[in-house]
Amino acid sequence: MQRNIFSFFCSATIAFLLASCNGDKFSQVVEIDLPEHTPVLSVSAEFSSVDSLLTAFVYHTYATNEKPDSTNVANATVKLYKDGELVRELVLNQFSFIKDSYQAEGAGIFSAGGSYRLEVSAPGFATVFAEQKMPRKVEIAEVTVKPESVPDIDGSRLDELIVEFDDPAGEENYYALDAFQTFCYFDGVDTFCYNQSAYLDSFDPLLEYSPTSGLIISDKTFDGKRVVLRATSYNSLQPSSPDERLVVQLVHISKEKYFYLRSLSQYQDADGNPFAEPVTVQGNIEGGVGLFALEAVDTLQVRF
Amino acid sequence: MSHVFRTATLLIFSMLSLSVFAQKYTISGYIEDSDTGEKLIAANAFDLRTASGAVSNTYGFYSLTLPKDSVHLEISYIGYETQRLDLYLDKNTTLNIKLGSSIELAVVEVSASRQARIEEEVQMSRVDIPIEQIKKIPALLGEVDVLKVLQLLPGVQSGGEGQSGLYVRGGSPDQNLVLLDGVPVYNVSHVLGIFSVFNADAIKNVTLTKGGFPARYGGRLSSVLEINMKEGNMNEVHGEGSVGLISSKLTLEGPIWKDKTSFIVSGRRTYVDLLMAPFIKAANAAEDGGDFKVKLFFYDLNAKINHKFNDKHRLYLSAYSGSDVFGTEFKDDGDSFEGGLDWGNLISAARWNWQINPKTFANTTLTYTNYQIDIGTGFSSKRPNEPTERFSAKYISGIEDIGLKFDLDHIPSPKHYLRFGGAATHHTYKPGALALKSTAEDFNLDTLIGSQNANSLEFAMYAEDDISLGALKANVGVHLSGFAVDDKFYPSVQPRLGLRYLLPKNVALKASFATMTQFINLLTSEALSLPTDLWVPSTERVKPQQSWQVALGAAKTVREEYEFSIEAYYKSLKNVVSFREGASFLLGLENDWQDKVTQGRGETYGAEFFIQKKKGRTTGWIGYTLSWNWRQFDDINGGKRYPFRYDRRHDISVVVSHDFSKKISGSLAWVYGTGNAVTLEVFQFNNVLRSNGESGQPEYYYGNTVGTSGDKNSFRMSDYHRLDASIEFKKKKKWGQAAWVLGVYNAYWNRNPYFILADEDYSYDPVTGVETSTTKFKEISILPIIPSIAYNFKF
Repeated sequence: MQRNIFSFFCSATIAFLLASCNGDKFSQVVEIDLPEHTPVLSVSAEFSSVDSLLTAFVYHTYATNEKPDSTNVANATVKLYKDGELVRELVLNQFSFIKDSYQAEGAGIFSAGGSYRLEVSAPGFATVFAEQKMPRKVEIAEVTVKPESVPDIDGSRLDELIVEFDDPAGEENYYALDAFQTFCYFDGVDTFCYNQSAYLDSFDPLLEYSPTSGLIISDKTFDGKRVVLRATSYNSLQPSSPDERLVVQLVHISKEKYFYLRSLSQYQDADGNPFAEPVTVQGNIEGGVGLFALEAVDTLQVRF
Repeated sequence: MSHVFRTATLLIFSMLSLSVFAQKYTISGYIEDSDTGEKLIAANAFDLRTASGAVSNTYGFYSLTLPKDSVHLEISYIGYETQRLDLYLDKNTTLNIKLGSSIELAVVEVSASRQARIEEEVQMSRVDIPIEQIKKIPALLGEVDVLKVLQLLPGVQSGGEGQSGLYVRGGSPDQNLVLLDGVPVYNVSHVLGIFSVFNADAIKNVTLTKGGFPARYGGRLSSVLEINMKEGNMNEVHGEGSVGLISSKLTLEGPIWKDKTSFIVSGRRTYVDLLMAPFIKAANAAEDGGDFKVKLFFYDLNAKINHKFNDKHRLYLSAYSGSDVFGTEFKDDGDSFEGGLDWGNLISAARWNWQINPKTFANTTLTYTNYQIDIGTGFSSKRPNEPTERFSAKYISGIEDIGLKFDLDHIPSPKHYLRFGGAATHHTYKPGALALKSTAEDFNLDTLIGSQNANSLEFAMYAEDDISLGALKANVGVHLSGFAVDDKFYPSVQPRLGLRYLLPKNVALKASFATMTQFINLLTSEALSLPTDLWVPSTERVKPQQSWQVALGAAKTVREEYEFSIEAYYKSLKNVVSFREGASFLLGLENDWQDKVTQGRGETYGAEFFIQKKKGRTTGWIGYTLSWNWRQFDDINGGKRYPFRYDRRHDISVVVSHDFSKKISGSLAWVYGTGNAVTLEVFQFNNVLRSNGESGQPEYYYGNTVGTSGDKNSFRMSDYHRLDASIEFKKKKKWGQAAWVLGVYNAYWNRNPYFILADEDYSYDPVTGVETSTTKFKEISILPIIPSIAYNFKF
C-alpha cells in the first residue's frame, strides 16, 4: 500500500516538473505566435453613377504584430468590366492631388442594373475581385425642414429634416441620406461662402450613423412603400441669406456598401472600449479585403 | 364506422374484464435511510416472482401494483443493504421501507442509473452523481464543487479556466435549467465563476439531463440540472464540516420532533479578507497614508425543515441565501472613496407532498427566487465648516420569480408511469439600470438611467407516460407552455419521445427526440468575464428561443463493473440571442437593451463516449466528446456562419479514484479540451473612405486602419489540459470521524489561457526619430499549480 501511495505522489511530482521546465517557471503570461500572415490586397473603390473620374486605392494587409505599413501598392493592375467586357483600366496617377490613387475616366460607363466586376492584381499578391450591380437612382419626392421642432436630450430644440421617397418594391434596397449646407459671411468687402456637411443625426433606430455617408438605412421594414425619413441636425438648416443653401442627397447604395459602412461604424465605436463585443468589418473583395461599391445619387436643393 | 364501434366496445370490455377477474392490489410507501430518515431517490422495489418493479420518485415514494398472490419483494439501493420481504398481497398495502447503509461497501458509484442497469432505462443523456463521489474528486483549493465534477462528463464543458458555467452539448449556460429543490437558480457561481454556489455538505443528490428531455421538463434549451438538498436527520443530531485554506463550512442536522420534524442548516464562508486584513492594516500604518480596506468574500447559507404530518402528508420548507462581496474602501483626511461589486441569490421553496391514494402521489411547490447584481462606486467629502459632498453611482440588474407548481404521479401498473402537472411563474426583470446620486453645494442629482423593470407570466402543462412493452420501452409526452409579456402571448407545443429497445446480450439501443422553448434570455458579454450578465424576457421584438434535439445511442453493462455508452446527437437552435457586434453591455445605458441584441441560429452536433468502472477499489471513468458548435446571425460576421466561442472539437476527461485502504484513498482527474474560438485582430489594412460632396463628386478620407481576424472566432486559444490530484487520510475519533485531504490543482502547472491580451510594443528609431509600435499577443493564465489542504470532520 505504501508503495502505491509513493507511486501516486512520484507520478504527480514528475508530471509537474516535466511540464513547468520551459520558460519562466512562475510566469502566468505566455506570448503566443500568431499564424503567419500572407498579405493580400486591400481595395477601396466606390463609384457613383455620376462620377466623371473613377478613383480606386490599392494597399495590402499586414500582420498586427508587424510594423504598420501604409504604403500603397504601386504596381497593381486595376480593371473594370461591364457585363464581362473590359470598360476601363484604372492607372496609378501619382500627380493627382488624390494621392496614391488609380484613376480612369468615368463618364458614360454606368447604367442602372448593369453588372460590373472589378479585378485587381499585383505581383506577389493573389488576384482579387468583386462584383456589383449599379443601383438605379431613387428620386427624392419631398423634403421638409421644420425649424426647432425636435427636443434634444439636453432640452434644446433641433431642426428636423424630413425626406420622403418611394422605395422600389420587391427588392432589397439600401440608402444613405446626407445633407450639405453652404454658409456665407460678409467680411465688409466681399461675401465668402463655404460648404460643409449638415451632420445629420436621427432618433429613428433604423437610421444608423455611417462614418462618411450620413445616415444609412435598409428597406427591410418598408419595402415598396412611401418612406418618410426623419433626421435632425445641431446646425440650423434654414438659410440666413439668399446665398446660403441646403442640399439633400439620397444615395441608393448597394447591400455590400451598407454592411461595410455599418460594420466599420461599429468597429470605430468599439475601438478602445473593453466592454464592447468584437466587430468584424465586412467587405466584399473576394480573395482580399476592402470594398468595391456602386451607388446612384439623387440630389435636391431645398427651396425655402 | 360500426366496425370501429364494435372494436372499441370489445377493447373496453376486455379491460374491464381484466380488472375484475385478475384482481390487483398496490404496495406503496416511502423508501428511506434507516439511520437518517432521508428519502432515497430512485431506489428499486422489485417483485422477483412477477419480475415487475418500481422506482422511488424524488420524494422516495414508490407504488407497485401486482396481482393478488404472494410477493417476494427485493428493495435495493446502491450503498445500502438489499432487503427482501415476503408477503401475501390480498389488499392495498402501505409499506414504508428503511434501508441500512452498507458499511462494508468500500466504494460509491457514479452512474447513469444507480440501481437499474443503464440498458434498462429509457432515459438517455442523463447522469446521476452521488454526492459521496463528488466529494472524492480533487477540487480547486479543496472546495468541493458539484458543477466542476459535471464538467468532467462527456457532453459537458467548462467555459474556461476555473469557470463553473456549464456548456451542455453546445448550449450556453443560460440554456441550463438549474433547480435547487425545484427552484430555478439564476446565478450558479461565486468569485467570477471560479466556485459554484452549491455547498456539497447540504446536497443529497445531483442529476443532469442533457437531452431526451421528458415532458415534465421545460423552459430551457440545453439541459436540466436538478440538485436536491438533504432533508435533515429524523433520528438524531449530526454534524459535519471542514476547515480549508480559504473557507470553512459547517452543517448541522437533526430532529426537532423525532420521526416527525427534522432540520438541516449549512453555512459556508470564505475568509480571504480576514486573512488579508492585518497585512493591509500594517501596510497602511507603514505608509502613514489613509485607511484602506478590502472586502472580499462569499458566503452560502442553506436551511431546510421537513415535517411529516402523517403517512400521506409531508411539508418541506427550504431556503438558500448566498452572496459575493468584492469591494474596496479608502478613507483619508475626510475624503472617502468606495467601490465594489456584489451579487447573490435568495431562493426559497415550500413543498407539500400528498399521497392521494396508493397509486397517486401529488407534489405542490411554491417558489421564490431573486438574483441581483449591484456594481457601485461612491465618493464623499466631509470637512469642518464645509457642507458634505456625496456622489454615488450604482449599476443594478437582476431577476425575481414567484412560482407555483403542481406535479402528479400516477402509477396504474408496472407497465405505466403517468406524470401530469402544471406551473405558473411570474418573472420580474431588472435589466440593467444606473442609479446616480449626488449631493453637493452646486450640484444635486438623483436619477435612474437605463431600462425599467419588466414583468412576464410563464405557464406550463405536461403529460407523460413511461410505457413498458417487454424489450421495447418508451417515454411519450407533451409539454405545453405559454409566455405573456406586455401585450404579446407566445404559445408553444413541445412533443417528447424516448425509446429503448433491448437487443440480445443486453445491448440497449436508445433514441430520443425533444423540442424545447425558452422564454427568458441571458445577455452575456463575450468581451468580459464578469457577472454582469442581464436576464431579459422574450418580447415583441425578441422572440423565444427554440430547439429540437435528436439523439441515438447504445449502452451496455459488462461484468456488473463496467458501463459503456455511446451517444450521437444533433441539436438545432433558433432565435438564440447575442449582443450585436460592437454593442457594450455597460455603456450606452440610455438605450433599450433590445437595440443591443440580435437573434440567430445555432447548430451543434457530436458524439459522446463514456466508459465507467463502477465497482472495486478502483473506480472512475473515461469520457470523450467529439463535437461541432456553430452560430449564424444576420447581423454578425456579415451573416456568415461561425464557430461558437465554446466550439470544442475534442474534450477528454479521465477520472480515477482508488482506495488504498479503509483509511487512505486517492483521486486523479485529467482533462483536455480544444482551445476556445476567439476573435483576434491578426492583421490590419488601410482603407480610404468616400463621401459625396455637395455636388455629388467624391471626397476621400485617408488614414483608416482596420484590424480584423478575417472571420469571427477564427483564432483558437491554446488547448486546455490539467491534472488534479488529492489524497485523503481518514481516522475514526471518539466523537465521529476526521479526515485530512491534501490536494493539488493543475498539478503540472500548465498555463491554461483565461484570456488573450494585445500588448503594444513600442520602438524608437533614434536616426529617423520615428516611434513605431507593434502588437504582441499574450495568453494570460490565472490559475497556476495550487496546493490545498482541508480538515474534514463528521460527528
